[in-house]
Amino acid sequence: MATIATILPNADGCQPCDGACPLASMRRGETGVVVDLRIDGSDRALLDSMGLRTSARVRVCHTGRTCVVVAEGADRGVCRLGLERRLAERVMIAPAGV
Amino acid sequence: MSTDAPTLTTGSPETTPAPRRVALIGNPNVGKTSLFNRLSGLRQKTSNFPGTTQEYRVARAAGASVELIDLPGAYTLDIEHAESTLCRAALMGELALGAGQSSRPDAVCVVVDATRPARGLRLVAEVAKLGLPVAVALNMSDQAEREGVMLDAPALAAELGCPVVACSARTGAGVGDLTDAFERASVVHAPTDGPGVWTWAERLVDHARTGAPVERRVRLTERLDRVLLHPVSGTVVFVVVMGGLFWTVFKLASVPMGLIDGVFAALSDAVAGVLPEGAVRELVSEGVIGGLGAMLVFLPQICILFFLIALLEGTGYLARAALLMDRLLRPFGLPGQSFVPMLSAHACAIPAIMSCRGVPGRQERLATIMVVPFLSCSARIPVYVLLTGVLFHDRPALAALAFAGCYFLGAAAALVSSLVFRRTILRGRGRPMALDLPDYRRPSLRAALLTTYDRAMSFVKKAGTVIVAMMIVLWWLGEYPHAREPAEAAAMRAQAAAIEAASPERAEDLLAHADELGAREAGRQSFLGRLGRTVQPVFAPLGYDWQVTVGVMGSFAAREVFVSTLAVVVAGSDDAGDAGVLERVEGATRDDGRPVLTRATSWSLLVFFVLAMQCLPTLAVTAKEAGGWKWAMLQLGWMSTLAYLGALATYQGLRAFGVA
Repeated sequence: MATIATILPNADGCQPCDGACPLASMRRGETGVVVDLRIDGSDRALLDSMGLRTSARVRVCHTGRTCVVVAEGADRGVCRLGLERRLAERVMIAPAGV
Repeated sequence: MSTDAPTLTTGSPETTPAPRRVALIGNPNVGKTSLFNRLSGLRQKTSNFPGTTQEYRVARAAGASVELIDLPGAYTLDIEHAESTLCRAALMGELALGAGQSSRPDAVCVVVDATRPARGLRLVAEVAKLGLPVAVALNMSDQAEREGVMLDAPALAAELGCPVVACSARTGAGVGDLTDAFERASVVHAPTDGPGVWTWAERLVDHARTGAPVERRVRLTERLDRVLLHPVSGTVVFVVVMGGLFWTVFKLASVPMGLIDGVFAALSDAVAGVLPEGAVRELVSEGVIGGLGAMLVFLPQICILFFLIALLEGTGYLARAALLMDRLLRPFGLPGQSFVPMLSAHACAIPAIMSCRGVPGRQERLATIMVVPFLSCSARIPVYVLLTGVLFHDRPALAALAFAGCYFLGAAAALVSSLVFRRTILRGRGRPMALDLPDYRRPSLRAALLTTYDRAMSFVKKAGTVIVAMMIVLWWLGEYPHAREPAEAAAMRAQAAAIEAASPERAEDLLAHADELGAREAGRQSFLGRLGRTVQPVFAPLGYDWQVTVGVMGSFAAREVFVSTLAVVVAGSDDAGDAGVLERVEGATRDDGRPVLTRATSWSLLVFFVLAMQCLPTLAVTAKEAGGWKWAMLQLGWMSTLAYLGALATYQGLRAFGVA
């Protein structure tokens, strides 16, 4: 069965991201910036190539058993991604409010 | 809509007689295949990558001067997912594509979704790393214009240093300019590191962007998502939509299936009337035409299912449904995308297995293919009707409960089998569910029809030929050698001739009875009948006598054959729809005088038919879709073993409790 990932430290070697929270814990309408993807290997590369990458602005559209998040490139178009909860728990967001 | 970009021409028709080979690559769901279809018309050839289940398609375009290669959709070339690995290998010239050369394509056309261009341009950077000439197709430009997110193609071309064509595969606008762009494809210089690539792509978009986005479609999508992804309302809509899909396939297909049956029966009669009597006439009229009919009868279900799936996919709903179902299927090692094949298998396993192409991940796709035939298809219904009718003759409520239990048992067997496969031979980390959710939009009828045509042709050309061959062999086993008519039947015919003038009704009865005896003897003496009697000891612990065993053996061609085979063997008539014949099947006796279908035998048969793989066409499709006959043989072995053990436990258990 799928095991998502090994939890990785940040690029600077620190574990937590100050003020950041998992995407899965955010509420609908909240926005923020991706500060860390605690996912390794090809899963991380896949999310990155889909548009969910560090420094991407995100807006939560739906939460629950699955999360729907819009990774916004502002005028560069938006990517609406559906993520299973286990994955959303490993995407760390610095909230920016509603 | 074409652009004048700085170009580096890498070849010309005058100096290179061979067609220019252009690989089409792009993210999933950017309309790449629609563009391929637009460029090639229907002159395409679909092939599998050697040793894999991933398909590529090759077609000539632009008056045969261009050979287009349609590669699987991928977000990136840099990961070890099957589609990414294959795209990378194809672009590196490590796979024999098209005419068979293992060489790099002359150019790569990167298809970019004009409404979400940065992600597509990121892929351009990955292709650029390989040093191949690139042309960019900005597909869905019409939609981007409506949404106010149009890109200035000439400006983008100038920034990229390669041709950029704004086009719409949906309307055909701009598609004609692509051929010229392929000729002028140029090597792009792009950053190679991760974050730098995104910055580069976003800067390109910023420079080329014209207009401000219109929020209307986004708001509509988010409003619909609130309903369609809600645990309660989303589930209700899912059940209604999928129930409707299943019902439509099931109901609508019955009319053309009946027509195909009728046309081939008439054709068989017509050919039999023209050809001289003998083995050739029987082979052509019954074997070949019968086999063709048995193969083509699946086409209506295949066409309707794929047409509806393509329409649903076009609306953007399928991605939401996969997200909803993921939680339910994930504990059994299957992703949410497996629900479409599993649902459609209730109509027929063949289109269901073909629709497994939408399941991402090799292990998960194979696991879905392997377990889909457990789900009760329409061919099992006549068997369920017969056996539940025998078990609960005057109690329709209990018969209905047993009927529903068959569906439940099949679904449970599929899920448990998936778990077993995913923990043994198909072990491996499943892909996490991360789905791109497109905006809701009106589906393209043309694209849905092309997908349907593509799938139908794929079935007829590849699986169909195997199916016809198998059906001819099975027909031959059931028909030959011809048995001599029993003496009792000959005596009846003589008696009928003698009394025909005096008592025509009595004579007719005698002739009908003689026909029954002749058919029973023919079934008994055929190769299939002999095989049934030879292997009967194997089925004896399950409660089957030689007559039931012949029915079971015959039904390995197709389950629905069981009722008619049993009707021939025990009642001497192949008209299984005749109520009198069914009553005779129910009341038929074994050689020792006991009923053929005792309660324990009927329960045992019911369990056997729920679990057994008794459909040669399904095996042929499994072999094709899974990438080899070893998977089909494993499917046959696994399902047959489970069916045997399940039926054995049922029969012996019931006997132990005094039910016989």
